[in-house]
Amino acid sequence: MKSYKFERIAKNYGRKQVLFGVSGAFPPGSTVGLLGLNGAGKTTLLNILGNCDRDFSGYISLRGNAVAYMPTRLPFPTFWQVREVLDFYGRFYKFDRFLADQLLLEAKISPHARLSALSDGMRRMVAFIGCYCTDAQVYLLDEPLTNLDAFLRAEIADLLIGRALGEKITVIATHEIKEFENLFTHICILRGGGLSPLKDAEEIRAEGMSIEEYYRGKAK
Amino acid sequence: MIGKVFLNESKLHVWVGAALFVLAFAGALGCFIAAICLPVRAGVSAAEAGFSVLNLFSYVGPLALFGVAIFQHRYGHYRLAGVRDNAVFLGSLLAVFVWAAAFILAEMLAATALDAAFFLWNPSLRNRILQSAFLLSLIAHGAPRLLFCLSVAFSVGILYFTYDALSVLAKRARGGIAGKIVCVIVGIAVCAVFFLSASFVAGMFSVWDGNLLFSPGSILPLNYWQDSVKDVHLLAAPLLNGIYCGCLAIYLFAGVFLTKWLGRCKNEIGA
Amino acid sequence: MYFKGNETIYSQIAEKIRKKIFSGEYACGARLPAIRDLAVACQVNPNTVVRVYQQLTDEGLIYTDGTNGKFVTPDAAFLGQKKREYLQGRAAQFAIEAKEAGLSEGEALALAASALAGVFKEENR
Repeated sequence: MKSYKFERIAKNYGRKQVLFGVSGAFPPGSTVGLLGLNGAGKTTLLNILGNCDRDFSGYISLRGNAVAYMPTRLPFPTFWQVREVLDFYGRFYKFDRFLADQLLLEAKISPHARLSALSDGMRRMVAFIGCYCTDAQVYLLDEPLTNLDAFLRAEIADLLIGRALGEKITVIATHEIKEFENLFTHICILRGGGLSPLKDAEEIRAEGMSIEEYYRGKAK
Repeated sequence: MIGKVFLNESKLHVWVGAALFVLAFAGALGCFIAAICLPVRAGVSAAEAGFSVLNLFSYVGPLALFGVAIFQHRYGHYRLAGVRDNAVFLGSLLAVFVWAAAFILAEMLAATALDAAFFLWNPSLRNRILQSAFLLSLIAHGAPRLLFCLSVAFSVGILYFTYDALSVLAKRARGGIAGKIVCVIVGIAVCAVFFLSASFVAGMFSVWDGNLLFSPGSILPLNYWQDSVKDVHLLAAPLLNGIYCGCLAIYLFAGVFLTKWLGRCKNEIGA
Repeated sequence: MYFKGNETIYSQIAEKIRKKIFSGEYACGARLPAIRDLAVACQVNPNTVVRVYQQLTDEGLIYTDGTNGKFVTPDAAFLGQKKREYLQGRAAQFAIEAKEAGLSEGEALALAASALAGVFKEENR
């Protein structure tokens, strides 16, 4: 499998330029931490890479349903039931429905519940399940742990670890570095509308810095 | 991909269509039962009321489905799945087209069945019922009237197509909110003028009308064309009229050109 | 499991496993945890565990048995030698640290003796 590349991604809201030609290349099998402060544009970038935002300029090497995206807010109509959401994933992706039903059960979310009736954390879990159970080449997760209780956080971490071996690429955008520090193989930092070059996580540590320290140094 | 979108969109269409059909059928049935029980004069009124219910729902149903299509007109979750915006539009258009046609077909079959069951054996009652009541009955107009489903489906399809084109125009128009409102109003005006002219011209050149080649109680009513012989239905596109079809082709071509030129989004997948 | 943030994770895990091999917790010929299981237990990326196992294989401490998994080498003599080398290295490190701290050889020896006495007395009790 080739690297996942995106080049010169630029996005503006009217006159406000949010991303100034962001480029990156993520090698197969990597788990990339996309770090940055609140408002740096992580969600903007992931929306673009994750097919949801199509008003941008630039090139992405892989689009469509080879990319699975976990957004901060599910774009489904709120009157849909959870099982309808999973049906939708099943229809448009190669989807492991059996695993999804299992994960729903473990998270104690009823398949017949309407999205509007779920708490924000449960909605996020549904978004995670939808993203995780698809067979894609690139997985994009936007703040996967926010608003989730300790049990679900541990579950998600274990699931991500379980998948990290192999050719698939996982990109996690977060500012909660501590939770994922040891899971990243590479990190890059979004700051001022630009993306830092990809750095190997172990290399940073070999230089005597923790990821957190490196991030603090670079993110301001 | 369009097929998958169609399947996804269809669910609500089927529910709403079925619910409205059941309502129409129940209403008509009630009236017809009354019609055969009451003395002749009252019976005729009851029968006409029953048919009116069905005819009314031949407006309500397709327009409700158009409403469903507008209600479901959104791209968020489809975009998440990597579906192209164009495929979403075509899938939705297909859904509203197919289910509007299905609704009218169901109504026509129901009207025919009810007509046969309640009135065919009772000519003294049936002959007194207004001719216009039998809009949907195939007994009165023969199998060719089945084209009416297509005709209504086309009308609703054109409505949705127009709505979509205007929404693309509104999305792409510059000049802030005011600019968008102006564009949409101008768009609606252009469409309305075009359609009224097309209908008028089509009506004038009746020699191009396939309808007139057939006997009274013709296959398809004409838009806005009052005739003592033919039925009038505002949602019936005169598909057998060559001029109208030509104008429709121009209209569709212009709409497609507009959406392609403006572009549904700046950076579409696979573009 | 807690890891120091400013040292490479793989070297920390490798060290932990080495200690377990030398202490006998992972006995000669014993089977090591599967890559995924160890990754989940440590909450680290399994690619890191791959690297650890690769390093330990290069050092000769473990080997891969086809698809059955990773095992500690059954060569007890080799392990004993490696253990000795490892402890020698730690001793040398202590010696250097003592010297850098300004201790004389006698003081360093006394320190080491008392430490040893303390640990072995616990054992004898």
